[in-house]
Amino acid sequence: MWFKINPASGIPIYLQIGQQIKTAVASGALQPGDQLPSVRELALELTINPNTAAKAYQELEREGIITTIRGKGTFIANQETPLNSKANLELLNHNIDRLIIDALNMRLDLQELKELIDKRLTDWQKNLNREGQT
Amino acid sequence: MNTRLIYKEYKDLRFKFWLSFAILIATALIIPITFGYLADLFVDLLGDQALLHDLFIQFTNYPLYLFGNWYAKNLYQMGTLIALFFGMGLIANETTRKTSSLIFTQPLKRSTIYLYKFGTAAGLLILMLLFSTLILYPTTAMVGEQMPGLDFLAPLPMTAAGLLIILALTGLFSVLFDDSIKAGAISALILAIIAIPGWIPKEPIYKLSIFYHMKGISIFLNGEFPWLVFFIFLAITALLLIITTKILDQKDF
Amino acid sequence: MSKAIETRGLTKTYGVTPAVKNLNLEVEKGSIFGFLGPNGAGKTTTIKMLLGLLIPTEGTATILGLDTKKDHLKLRQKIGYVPETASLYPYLTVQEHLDLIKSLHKTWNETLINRYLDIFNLPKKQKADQLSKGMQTQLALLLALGHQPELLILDEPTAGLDPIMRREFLQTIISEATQNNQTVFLSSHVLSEVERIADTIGIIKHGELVLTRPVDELKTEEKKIRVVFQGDAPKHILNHPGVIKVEQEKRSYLLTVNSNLEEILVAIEKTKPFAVDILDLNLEEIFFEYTKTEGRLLR
Repeated sequence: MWFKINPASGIPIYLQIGQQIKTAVASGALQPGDQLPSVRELALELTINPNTAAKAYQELEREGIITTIRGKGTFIANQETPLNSKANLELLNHNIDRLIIDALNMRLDLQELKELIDKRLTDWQKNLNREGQT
Repeated sequence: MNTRLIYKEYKDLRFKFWLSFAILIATALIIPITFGYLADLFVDLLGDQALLHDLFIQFTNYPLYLFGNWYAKNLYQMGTLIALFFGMGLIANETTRKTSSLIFTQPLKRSTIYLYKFGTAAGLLILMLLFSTLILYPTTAMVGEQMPGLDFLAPLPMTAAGLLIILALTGLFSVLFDDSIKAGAISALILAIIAIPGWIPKEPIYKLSIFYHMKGISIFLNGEFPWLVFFIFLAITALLLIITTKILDQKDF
Repeated sequence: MSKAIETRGLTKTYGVTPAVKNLNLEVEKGSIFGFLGPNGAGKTTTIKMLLGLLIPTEGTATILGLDTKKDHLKLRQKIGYVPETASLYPYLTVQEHLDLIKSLHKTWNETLINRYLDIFNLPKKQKADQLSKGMQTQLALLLALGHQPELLILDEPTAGLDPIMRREFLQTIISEATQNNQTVFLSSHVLSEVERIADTIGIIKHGELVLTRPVDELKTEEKKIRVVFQGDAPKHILNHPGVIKVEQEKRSYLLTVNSNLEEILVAIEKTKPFAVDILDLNLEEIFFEYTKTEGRLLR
């Protein structure tokens, strides 16, 4: 399993798990239809409270990233558009704002930040293309 | 009846049990065997001297010698020490070993646990008394002296009943004090005080000592079993047990 | 959800010194409750009162709906307890311990016991005093799990375990004591392990409960805000409900916040500060916030 959590961080564990699954989905490491470990398996694997594992899945399910099929398990969902909910859009904007604040604190001007972002976007695009080919 | 619990209590007492048992058996062997030598010494060498008259009588009469050295001396004295030895750790051992937090969190009343402890210790004590006394028969046969009859066993219940009081008393202190040595010492002190009436050679007073009755003298001399005293002894034991379990129920572990 | 543990004014006084003062503790059924506090804060005293090992001076405790005083025998069928130091009989073997405790319970899950005897590699015929400290703790855990308790109470159980054993120990608890709405009450010094498995924590200090809160809520609500205001700090922000502590260094303020985070941030934004920075707090930092004696706690 590729989950890695840091219980000593100030970020709740269920959010850490959610973030990692989202990253994996965004990068294509997890594809729609891929099965995730059960709540119990996840809890044991990470030595965390089963309630926390369940909460992580509930949040992801609410956001439409995963679906749970009774008796079968938990799977990555088919998502139509990545920005299908207002909540997701807000979250994304919030993260962008934080990034901008950080950049300004580091005395970067907005143009420099834009260039940096463009470069990262190009790198990601390359990676995604490569994954698509294999 | 929970045999596992009895087994555990036996294991708890096993060193004390086998050590005491070995000493009692050794005593039961030595008493008949030494009779011949001591009798020769007193009767032939010293003769009947005024100062040693009582001893002289003993060595001319084997049953008297046997009773005097067994019931009237060694058995109740050693038995007292063994009961003290058994009783002082009954609860104190659980406390010092911290096993109290295992045993007293099980679905079992504290009083039940205590009665198992007391019962096991009492059972082992009685077993020792009976077995070591029975040893006297084959040893007597071995040295060729006059065989005691079955009535020789008659004082045993009195000795046992006295030891139960001592065990219950020490057990009480084992609840009150977390240190078994302290529990034993305090009980010994109380027993010494209880023994005082026995040293006063006046008719009703010395009979107030439990040790006087544990010797079973009246049984040996008149063949009368002191039923009243016997039941009083049992009642005292029961009272001590009730007090102990009440205190145990209120104890902080 | 009904409560697994509920205490009302629970107090234990030794002589005149109170070890636990007026404790009102609530633990939800099905949760893993982390019970934290410095040494001598009253953790073990509280646990022993819950188990009926100590008689409370005042107050009541209800466990799984049963009164700890009246129904303690019935309760003990439903509680498993792993004490601070594994309390085992030195002269009994592993198997004899299991047999003894089994004989005292109505239900006993032999399969579970055998599975873990295997996993832990516990030598059945070895006497308890010949077991390593870690194995003693593992045996103590099995003795507490065999009757499949509805509530498992653990008092500093992982002290003395190596990291692998500690992990195994916690995994055993997760897989055997958290199904079927079972509750775990865990007192521990090891904050990282509490952070991992507890969903709610309670902090006790000098015998008093100073905090109970779900861990996730704690992590999203308990923050420090570093802010540099234009000019003096506005009073209404420093006194805002939820701000529990204010530290100042030159022009920079450090606010410790335990609730109303969003509201406070909005209020700060309105003053057009020079800089605002939100600092996440982990459990260790929160723990120190609540237990250290110096410092100014405005509550």
